[in-house]
Amino acid sequence: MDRRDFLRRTLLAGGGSALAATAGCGMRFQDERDDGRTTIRYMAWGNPEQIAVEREIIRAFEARHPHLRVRLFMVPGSAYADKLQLMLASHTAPDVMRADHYYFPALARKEYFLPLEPFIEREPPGFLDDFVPIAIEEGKWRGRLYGLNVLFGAVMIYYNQDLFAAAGLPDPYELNRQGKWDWQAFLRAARKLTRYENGRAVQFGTNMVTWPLYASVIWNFGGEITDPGITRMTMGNDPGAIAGMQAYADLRWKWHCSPTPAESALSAFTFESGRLAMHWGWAGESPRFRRNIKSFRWDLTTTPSGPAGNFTVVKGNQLCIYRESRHPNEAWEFVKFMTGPEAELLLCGKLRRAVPTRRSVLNDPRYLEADQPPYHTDIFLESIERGRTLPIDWRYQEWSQAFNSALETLFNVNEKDAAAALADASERVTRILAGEEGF
Amino acid sequence: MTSGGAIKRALVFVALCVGAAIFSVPFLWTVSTALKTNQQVFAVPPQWIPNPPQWGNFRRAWTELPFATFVLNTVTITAIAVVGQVATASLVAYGFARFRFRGRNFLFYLMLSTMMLPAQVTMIPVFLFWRELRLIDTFAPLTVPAYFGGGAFSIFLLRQFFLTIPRDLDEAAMIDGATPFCIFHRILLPLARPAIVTVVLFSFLAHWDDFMGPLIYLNSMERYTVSIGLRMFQDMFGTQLELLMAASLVHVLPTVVLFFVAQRYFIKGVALTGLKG
Amino acid sequence: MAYPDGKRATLGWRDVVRKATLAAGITRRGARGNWDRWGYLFIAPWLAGFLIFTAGPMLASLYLSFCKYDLYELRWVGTKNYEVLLTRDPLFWKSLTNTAIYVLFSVPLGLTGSLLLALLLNQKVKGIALFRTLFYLPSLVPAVASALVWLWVFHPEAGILNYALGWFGIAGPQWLQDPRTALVSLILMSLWGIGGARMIIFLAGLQGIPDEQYEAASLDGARGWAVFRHVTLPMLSPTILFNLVLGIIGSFQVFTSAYVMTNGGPNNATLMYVLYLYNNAFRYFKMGKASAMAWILFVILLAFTLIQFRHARRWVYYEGGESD
Repeated sequence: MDRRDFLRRTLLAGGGSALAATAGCGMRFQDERDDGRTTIRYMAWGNPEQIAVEREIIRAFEARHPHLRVRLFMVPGSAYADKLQLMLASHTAPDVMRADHYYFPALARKEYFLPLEPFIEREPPGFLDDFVPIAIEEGKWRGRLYGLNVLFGAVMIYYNQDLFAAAGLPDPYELNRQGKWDWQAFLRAARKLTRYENGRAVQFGTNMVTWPLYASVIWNFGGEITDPGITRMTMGNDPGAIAGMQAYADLRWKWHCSPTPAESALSAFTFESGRLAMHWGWAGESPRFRRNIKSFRWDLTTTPSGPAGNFTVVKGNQLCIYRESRHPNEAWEFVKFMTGPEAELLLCGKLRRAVPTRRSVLNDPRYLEADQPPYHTDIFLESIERGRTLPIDWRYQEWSQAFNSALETLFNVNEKDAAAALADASERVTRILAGEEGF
Repeated sequence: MTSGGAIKRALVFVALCVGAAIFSVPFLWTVSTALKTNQQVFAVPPQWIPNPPQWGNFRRAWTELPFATFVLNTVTITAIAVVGQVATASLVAYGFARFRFRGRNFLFYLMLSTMMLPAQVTMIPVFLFWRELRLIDTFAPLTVPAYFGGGAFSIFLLRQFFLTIPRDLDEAAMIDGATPFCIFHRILLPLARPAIVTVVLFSFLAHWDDFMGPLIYLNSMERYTVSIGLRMFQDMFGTQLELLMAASLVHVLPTVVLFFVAQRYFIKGVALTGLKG
Repeated sequence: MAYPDGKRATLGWRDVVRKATLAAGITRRGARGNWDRWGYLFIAPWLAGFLIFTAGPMLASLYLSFCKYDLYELRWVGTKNYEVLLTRDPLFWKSLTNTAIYVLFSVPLGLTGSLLLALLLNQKVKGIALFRTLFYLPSLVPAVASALVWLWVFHPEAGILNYALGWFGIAGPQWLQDPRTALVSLILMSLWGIGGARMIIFLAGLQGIPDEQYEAASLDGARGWAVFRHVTLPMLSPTILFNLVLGIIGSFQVFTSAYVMTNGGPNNATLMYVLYLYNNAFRYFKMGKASAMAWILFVILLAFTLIQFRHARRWVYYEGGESD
């Protein structure tokens, strides 16, 4: 190496940093060209089909409002919460954003979103009437509305019709219509549909979902999760909750009709593979099943009722407007459109990605008719009608984590029974809710 | 090491083969899975060579998301950053290794200490800094820091390496009136080739695999890198292991190739290390 | 430069720099002192970067550790965070213990393994490049894919580890699903990386040992183990120190494997220190508490490193004659 090499290196280094700087500055918002249109930034997550549908909705919106443009940017779902929080904290958040209800209260509490009442007041009266009340309630924090619900839905059961028929079991959808789809019926089906060959499981009756999808089991056995004000977790002393939790855990450890964590690792028993007879899941899984399942018939039914109730778990996501948005009125137009009947028909009807929040759409024949599975579209309606929301407050992330850890002794390794695990969990969660070492 | 007898060579070869087999099993399984259909993935007993191999998995992995764009972005960022990192890290390491200036030890420990604070806590203040400069959603936050010493790891590595080179040549050159720059690029750099190649390799890997950086600084999908693309892919196709493995291989391939190519310089470095007494 | 005939060419930039340095410097130590001042110039890029990108954020996080900050409102609380962590937070001690165990095993084992591998791969055997690549492959696979591969390896039924153990008639444990063996699984996983970065560095270090040293040793009649002990190890000692220091610093901050594979479970058996920190910072929005955790870790690591460097004087040999 001699002087030429050295000079070359210096030039490279110098040129490189210059390049870095220019590459940095030059590649800014290229599409904010000066064409007079106001740009609204919209942030979301989703799979390709859903994004395609949302782009279609955006195109329809832009056609309706020629002076506006919507710039959608996507973030991987698993990193979405982190990214959203970062953008909000650093004042770089988009005008419109979707927030999962799991962390919506935490964000609303920090006053990141604009209250929507002023916008609603300017609309024709009765604007909120079409919406399902439970969907509206979810978007409220301390009595004020901060988000309209999108990607709304309930936990339902997808079931493999061929497996049920082959085992000679009555169809769970029919049972539900007759009001006989209760825990006993569910358990019977799950047990009958679990098969072992040579000591190795080849088929399971049902999956075991993570918290909070199984909350309905607790409610339907007469239990409550927390007190109404969400200041204490009451399950430790609640016989209904204990019974429900034990019944759920028994699926795995007593009746063996659900795979253990080891068995279900690496997606070994997915619904699509045909090796799982019943799958508890959200409406959002329908597009994926439609795409991947070609070899058996499948459809929907509700989650089972219990001895003391027939609730289902209902949850949505909030579409919110950033408090520091420079185009709040335009953002409102977009939010209105996204939750409007047209958009909901596209997203929920055509794609079945979610359940509509508008009653008009829920009852619209265009929504109810299905040319592809799932055909039991009335299940969507029924699940909403029987729906109950989860006790999600602004500390949910923390206490749900503690709750899950405590329950791992029950679900993962069967070391404790439901009563002991719940007592432990309740104590930990109550401490957090009381704001003690939750500092 | 000087070569021993034939038996020794044979033993070494056997050990290498056994070890390599064990170590490459996970990777081979990845390749094998990438070529299967979804049903074959969980077949018991496991099939090692799928028949017929599903090359279509790779095409799907490549086209479902704009991986071509992602790769281009990642290459750009990585190239710019690696150049800066190597250049500045070697300069700084030279400073720490060959000069006894006041406060040198303190500054060296200070530099090391930057590695002891988990990145998670400085992430937000650094992010706010870039926001003030209005450089969010550009490549600047991912490339410019490399030109400021390029990270304690590289500096530490090169400094240790420079310390192993005897000062005789330095002193001789000093007497001849050479400037520090001269000594640096005529004497030390050529001798440190294995270490430089190492730094290039690690720097490349770090920037190629970086996930948190691009995640927090890039917003537009046109600017995303391969690591974000892979995470998005995982979110969408997580239950389809065969596609996920195919996408991962696409991500891994450049690094494997680079590593294989970089081998030669390790061997070359030996030839140049010969010092005369 | 002054030509041999005494005449001077036009002043080159080197002359200017040298003259300027001479003029600026007070030569208390004579020519040596001047020379040493060049050091400041060379480390300038790092120093500048440190002041701009690092010092500020580090001080900010120190300040935050005395506050309660949830990315919305900031309140000074003094040493409350530290007090809560050290006395009232069982997860803090749990995560610290988990991490300490992890470091205690993975660092020595990993270091020894890497060194042995590097020795093995330093041979002039045919196809050595291919072998090196094969050994390095596990480190090249990105975290996401790597996690899946390892979930498969540790799968209690379909996994290759229990399958192999079955050959010896041993019934393998539940590995990652069982709180008793989950941490062990992560330690084992870290060992697969012995073919990785550390080994490459050892390899570079081994390649940097000049042949003359070995020739001199064999002339003195040394063979095998003696050569290793008296030539290889001392010449390699700076590299060993490097890998040791960074190994401890790095292992203490283990995050990705726990984050992607087990999320700290089951029942906090694999809750690593930095994972708990991350949860506090980004899931529970307790930036103050997270910052306090970071600085506690900082103090621990700084202490470790200083002890190592101090102790290093006794066993590390720098050919360049440099010692701290």
